[in-house]
Amino acid sequence: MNEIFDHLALGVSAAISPLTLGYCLFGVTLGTLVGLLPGVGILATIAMLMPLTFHLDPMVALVMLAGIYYGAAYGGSTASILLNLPGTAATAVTCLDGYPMTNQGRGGVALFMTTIASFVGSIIGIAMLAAFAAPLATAAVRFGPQENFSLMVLGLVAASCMSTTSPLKSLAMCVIGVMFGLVGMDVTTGTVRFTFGVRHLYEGISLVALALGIFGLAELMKNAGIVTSQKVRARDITMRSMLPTREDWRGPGEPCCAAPVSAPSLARFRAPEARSPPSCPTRSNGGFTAGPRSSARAPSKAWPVPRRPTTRQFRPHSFRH
Amino acid sequence: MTVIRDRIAGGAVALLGLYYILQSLRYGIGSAARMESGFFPLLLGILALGLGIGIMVQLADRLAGQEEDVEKINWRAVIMLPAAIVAFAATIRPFGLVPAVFLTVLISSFADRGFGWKPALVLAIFVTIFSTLIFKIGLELQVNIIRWPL
Repeated sequence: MNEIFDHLALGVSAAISPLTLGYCLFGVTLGTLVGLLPGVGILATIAMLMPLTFHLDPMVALVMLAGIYYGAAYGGSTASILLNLPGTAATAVTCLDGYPMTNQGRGGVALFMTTIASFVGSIIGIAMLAAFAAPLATAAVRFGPQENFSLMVLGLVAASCMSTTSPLKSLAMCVIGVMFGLVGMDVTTGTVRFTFGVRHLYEGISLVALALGIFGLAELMKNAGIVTSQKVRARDITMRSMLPTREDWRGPGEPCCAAPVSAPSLARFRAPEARSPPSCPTRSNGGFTAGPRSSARAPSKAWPVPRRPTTRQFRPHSFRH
Repeated sequence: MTVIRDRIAGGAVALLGLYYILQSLRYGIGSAARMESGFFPLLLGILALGLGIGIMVQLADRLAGQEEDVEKINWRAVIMLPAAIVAFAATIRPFGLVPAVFLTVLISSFADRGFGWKPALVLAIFVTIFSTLIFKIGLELQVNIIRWPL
């Protein structure tokens, strides 16, 4: 245990210098700005901003890259909340609860809570990673196909419980999602499935294209010509509008997030489901954003933990648009 | 209207499941111990077929009588927005970023009936300038700003 603190202290002493922190700030700012653009995911952001770090000292460069990473992850949530345009699959959940808040004129609160939640979640995630990395690694090695599959099924069924309409519909939603995931080359046999002979589909349906089409385009089609005034005006989001009300504070996130196999998306979907009783449809928007963000941060910290590349999220799909 | 909508939605899910079942038979099923590439799609197809029929029958019956405002489909938007995307995809490589963005914004602004010619043009010009600044000059993406292939 002491070893962990020694290492952490060493890291902090190395990282805390005005220069390093300055570059970190620079990285976070840039990352947030680029991450704001819908459809530009974390990986794409890092790939584009990587050249900025080439001339830096390796340690400073790493700190700046980490800043870009977190900035991009955070920036994506802003577009989700204000515009209902998820930049990545993982921020799609933020759309579900953040955007309704914007519609109620409370986008500022959503933004504020996302910020706080992702900060707290990051810290918890880092602490968990530092404390449990070694034991987790041994567990991760033992995670076989059965465990992976069970975890996925758990995640999908849990996600389908989130919806307030009807379990049948949301289960069908999950099944269709998995069916879309099958498009492309089969990993084990190499058979090309459900591509209609289109070569662009051999690597599967691009996640960004799918998310933008379903969340973004549909919303645009629905609103074109109907929405006359802008929902979000910059001056409406003041410092005061960011203060959450008392009800917004209720309800914690969920601590289950460092499972080494679960991709960020899964953990993000786990969080709201845990604290959303389907019986509170009106205020349920309140506490939501905090949950997925905070538990989402933890896996984004935890994904360097060794695991098998069974999930598709980290394939560099997001590079192509 | 909800009933009709649920019937259509359930029917679509069931049809998709049916397609997956038929298609997976062509890929080969195998057995649970030795799966071929059609095994998993077959299972999913059966699930989707069942769920789709369930939505069509049970849900529709339960909700029968409940009325819900169904918004009229905005055909203008349904046609114009995909057209804008197609225009972008078609022009970005041969003609470059500036014409592609300009066309995309111009076409998609026609989705809104209240949008006149002039604001659409102004908007298109500004978005083009900004996206060129951000993507080409700021992020140095590998796209042509403008070119003429002929």
